Amino acid sequence: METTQSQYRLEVSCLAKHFGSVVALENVSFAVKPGEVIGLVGDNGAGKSTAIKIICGFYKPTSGRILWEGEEVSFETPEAARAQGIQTVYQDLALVNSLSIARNFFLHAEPTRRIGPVRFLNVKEMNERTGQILHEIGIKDLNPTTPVSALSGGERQAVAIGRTYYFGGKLLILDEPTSALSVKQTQKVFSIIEEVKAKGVSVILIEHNMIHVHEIADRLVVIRRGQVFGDYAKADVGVTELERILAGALSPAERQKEGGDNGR
Amino acid sequence: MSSGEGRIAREGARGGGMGLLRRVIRVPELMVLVALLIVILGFVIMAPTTFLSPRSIGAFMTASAQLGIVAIGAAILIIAGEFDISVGSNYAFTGILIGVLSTTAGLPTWLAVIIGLGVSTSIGLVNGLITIGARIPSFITTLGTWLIWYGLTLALSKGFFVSVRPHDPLIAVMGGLLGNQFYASVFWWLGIGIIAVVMLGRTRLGNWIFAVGGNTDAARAVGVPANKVKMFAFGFVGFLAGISALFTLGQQGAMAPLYGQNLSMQAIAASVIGGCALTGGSGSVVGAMLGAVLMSMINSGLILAGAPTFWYQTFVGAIVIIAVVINTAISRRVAMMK
Repeated sequence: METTQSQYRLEVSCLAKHFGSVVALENVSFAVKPGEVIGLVGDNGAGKSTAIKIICGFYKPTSGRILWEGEEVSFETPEAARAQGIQTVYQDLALVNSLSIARNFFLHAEPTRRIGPVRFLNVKEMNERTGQILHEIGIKDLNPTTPVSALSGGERQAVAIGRTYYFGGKLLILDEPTSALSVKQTQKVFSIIEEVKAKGVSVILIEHNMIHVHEIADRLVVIRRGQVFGDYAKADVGVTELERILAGALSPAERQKEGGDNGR
Repeated sequence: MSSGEGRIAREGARGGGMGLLRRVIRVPELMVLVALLIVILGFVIMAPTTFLSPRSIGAFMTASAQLGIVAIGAAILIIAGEFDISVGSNYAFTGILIGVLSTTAGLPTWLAVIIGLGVSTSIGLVNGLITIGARIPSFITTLGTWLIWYGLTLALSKGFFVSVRPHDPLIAVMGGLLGNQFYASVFWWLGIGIIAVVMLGRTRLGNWIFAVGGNTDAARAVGVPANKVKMFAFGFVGFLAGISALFTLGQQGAMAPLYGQNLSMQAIAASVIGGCALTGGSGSVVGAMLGAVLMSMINSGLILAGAPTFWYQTFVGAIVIIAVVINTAISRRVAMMK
């Protein structure tokens, strides 16, 4: 696995997904480097979610290839993808409200201590390690024993992201992490994304707010009607231009294409 | 009994910058403790000489054990996000079965008891299999199995009491009289209660039970075997229905096919009074056990105070609603206080 020649952590090429006669994804290719934040943007139904679900193992692609750290992979299940370090944080799916931050953090990976024949939770270790990790990724004002129900939306996202990073996430997929958040909370989530990015984690972000996605992403991949419409470095595309593209304007490349081979 | 899952709330209560009030109202057993205090005060005033006599305490603790042992299982199942309203039929069927096996069929009592507990556990597991396999609400599954096992109980007993062998040592150990006032069942109940509290608050399985009931998808997403966790909870409440049947056999030497028809709802009532949210994910075994004590106390207190016993249902019904109304108001208030 470590004989990586590729500079990319994840490369998808020519992904297609058909549901019966419905073509959800026609031809999607893009790549993510370590420590890079990709904004995946596009209108509703453009195919962003389908692409994401293929990458994290929910769907099998009809055709196309996925290269993970330079090797071709085919994830049969989300668990298989997760085992490789592909972690998805869904908006409301990530945490259990009635449990504490620490109990959420270590859910299904709880540290235990054996006393006689029984293994008991090591609550102290759970709380201490959670506190350390929260501190490490820049969440300094939360107590690990606080129930998640008492957290703000931004804090929940931050905790969920911190958790995936801690458990070996190499590629973090965030599905609209800021859609229900205030400006201040959005900044908090972004600062966590910056933290994990600095530690070499790659991030794919699905986002509808172009101002937000432009702020945090290094590169923007626009998907339209199941295809990659454009793949821009942040510096090459402004927020207004992005919004125009999403609203239906043609990219320079497409304008050329439309003129050049009309037959397709 | 201060450890265990109650401490999840207390762990939380130590969170940054929270006041004493927040710390107190986060305790899930708060409501039932306040209610217990009021009820004890009330009955001490109404029946000052008799209510706190050893005889009276023995009576309501024995009744508490009977109901409370099932309430332990009901609470865990509710925390895991499911219900079992068939436990009452399970209880009656298991008691009748043990009686029939050990007398009519002539099996040794220990074997009849093992088979009985195996059957009661299996009844719980079948509820789980149907609910999970067919993806239907457990309320519906167990509504059906409640009637099925009720019918089978009548068929097996032919409508009559079924006795166990008199003075059988094993049955006596499970539910017989210790000394003058207390039945053995009280100690089994407290012992199993402690195990359940530790299991829920201090083991991985316990953490998973809360997680599966609180947010099944989130629990699954990190690899918690949600279906197995639910199966455990279904099986455990079935097992405890069997234990409760042994208590009855120990106290009365017999089981009647009509016993236990209110048991399921009373166990759910005890859990709810004790702080379980019917939405799953939160609750307390200690609370459910105290809820059972409260209900049994009201029952025997009314008798001692010379009040007609039908007031029991009325009282308990009102307490269930008051408890849920106050608990809901508290959790809203807590949410706003952040």
